[in-house]
Amino acid sequence: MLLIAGGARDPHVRRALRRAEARGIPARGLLVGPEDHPRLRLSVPEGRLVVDDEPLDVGALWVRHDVFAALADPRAAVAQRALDWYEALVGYAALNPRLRALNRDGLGRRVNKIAALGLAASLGLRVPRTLVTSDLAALRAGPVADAVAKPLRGGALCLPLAEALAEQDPRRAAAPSPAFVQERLAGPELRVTLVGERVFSFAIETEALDHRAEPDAPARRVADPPPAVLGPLFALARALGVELSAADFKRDPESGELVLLELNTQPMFTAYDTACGGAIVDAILDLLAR
Amino acid sequence: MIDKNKAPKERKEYKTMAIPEEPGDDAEYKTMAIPEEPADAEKAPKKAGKVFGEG
Repeated sequence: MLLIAGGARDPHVRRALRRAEARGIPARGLLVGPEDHPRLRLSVPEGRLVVDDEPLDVGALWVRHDVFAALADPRAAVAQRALDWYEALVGYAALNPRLRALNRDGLGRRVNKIAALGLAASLGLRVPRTLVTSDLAALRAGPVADAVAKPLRGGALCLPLAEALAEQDPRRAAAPSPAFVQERLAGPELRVTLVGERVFSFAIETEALDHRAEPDAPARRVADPPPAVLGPLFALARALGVELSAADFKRDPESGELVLLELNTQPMFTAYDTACGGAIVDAILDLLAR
Repeated sequence: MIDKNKAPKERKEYKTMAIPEEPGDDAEYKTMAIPEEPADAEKAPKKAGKVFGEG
């Protein structure tokens, strides 16, 4: 049986459960949300899992850290609860090393975006010229027109550097937090989702600097990047321990070369899955069911 | 986008269905309630913090 665990509000797990049901793949959800608090018992070190008094015979596991509950309810306890459930399921996978677990080698690991950019560059991928800085005074003194800024860990959109500086008190020489300052690249953004050995590439049609500013921007399936990019990209995914991931690229405005913005190890993909007729979810289920 | 002010959609209860675990096995298979996917949950939600932080 396939166990799909995550947030009750996470459309990715719900979509996968419905698709598994339609395909006749034995699957069970372990969904946690405001009204869903399953009764879990995990024996340590045996690794036996019982949910709502039902001993589960799990052959494959897909667990997603739930971020949707905290978006709907910003109380710290909600985020803590999501992390506790993720922790329990990651532990379950660790106690059962022969269990097929999606992204097993990446479970419980937080990806440092600075380190990931360094790793990507060492593997041969072009990454943006990047400075991590909190030095507002130096940034104001330099050219800002062709630069963008984005946070180190998420929590804000990527902005033109001038706009990010304008958010700060002009009397301040130092920012509260360091952030990425990068060269401005050319769109459209290319989203490349990796599922096992399969590749799903989409162009995101938007003029927005950060496509998340325009949630309805259409995604169009396009040709995959060339092997010179895909090879190092797969190597990066392997190094981060993930079989399911999604990379974001833009292009060097002069050379047209693809430039990796980041590799997401728990990607959002329902819009892209819709754009390719459900092929991404099917590929995930194929990976887990094989 | 998730509308914080909107109540969650009514849950759709899926019937318990039999899916053979092995050929010839009529083992019962149970799913949990699977809510309908909101049409507006397609992309990562917008975030509203400041790039260089606050405080």
